[in-house]
Amino acid sequence: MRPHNQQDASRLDDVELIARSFDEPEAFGSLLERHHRPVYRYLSRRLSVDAAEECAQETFTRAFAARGAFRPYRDSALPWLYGIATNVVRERRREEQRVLAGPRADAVAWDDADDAVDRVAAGELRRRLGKALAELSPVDRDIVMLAAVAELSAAEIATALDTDSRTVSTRLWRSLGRLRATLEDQLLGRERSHHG
Amino acid sequence: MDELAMIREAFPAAPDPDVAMLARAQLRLDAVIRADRPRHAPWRTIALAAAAVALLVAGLATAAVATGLFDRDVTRADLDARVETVTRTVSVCRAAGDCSPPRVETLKEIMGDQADGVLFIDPDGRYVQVTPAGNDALPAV
Repeated sequence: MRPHNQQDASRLDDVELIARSFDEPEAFGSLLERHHRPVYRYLSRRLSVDAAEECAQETFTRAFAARGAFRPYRDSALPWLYGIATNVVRERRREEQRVLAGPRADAVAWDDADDAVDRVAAGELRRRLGKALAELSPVDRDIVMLAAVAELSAAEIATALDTDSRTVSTRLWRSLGRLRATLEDQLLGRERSHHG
Repeated sequence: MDELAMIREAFPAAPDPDVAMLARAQLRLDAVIRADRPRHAPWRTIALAAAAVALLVAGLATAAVATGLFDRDVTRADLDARVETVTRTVSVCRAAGDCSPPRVETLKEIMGDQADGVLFIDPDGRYVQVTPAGNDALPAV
């Protein structure tokens, strides 16, 4: 199902598109076409590839059902969609913990580390980072991941998580401090290997 | 490299979704959109049906008033138009087996509803209405 006038729909911004979807639900399909890629890529960093595909679908079906509570950020629906995707991830904590805890088999095909040493180093970095991230509270981890992998600003994260940007900035700063402390050894180790 | 960049490097994104993946997502969304429609449809249908019935009732009532369906003032001309002349054989019985000889009578009468009884016109042209005390009092037809 597509809007009757696809060209017309592509000219609308996200806010207008969602408003139209109340009279013409098919218009929501254009929002999926527009934002499926970044949402899927965000989820694929936090979950397995299969789970990411499933959760991306879930994100858009939930967004359609909840479009009455849509919170725009500068005419964009993307932060709001990231927020819904983050809620979907929260319901899959075990899956997320598995991804954080160990190397992911499904990543081998698209891992661009050619050198075996680099691959081992990347694996070690990932293991340490995963452990440090797993030790954060779920909300802090969500904030860090939205900032790191979705590359959202504090204001966008605040829109995504329906909170205020000051709280987001404080929690992000505190969480990054913890990660920095945990990773110090790893950073020093990598520096030494580069100079050597 | 800061921590955020390190996380991006350590947790790389999967390649971009292909056309098939996008199509699967679109199909699932379409199914949800379709399923969402009937939830509102019955109320819309019920409202439309109620409006249609209300319009029909209003129309009928208007027509009935306009044609005098509820008008209780019946004129003599109205009654005369409904008069029927009937011939009956009448035999008056005082008791079982004690009856007068049958005689033929010609009467003018207007048949109404059971509850309204029968309106007779006597030889002088006056109307005589015979109304039963209740429907049960009327003989079975």
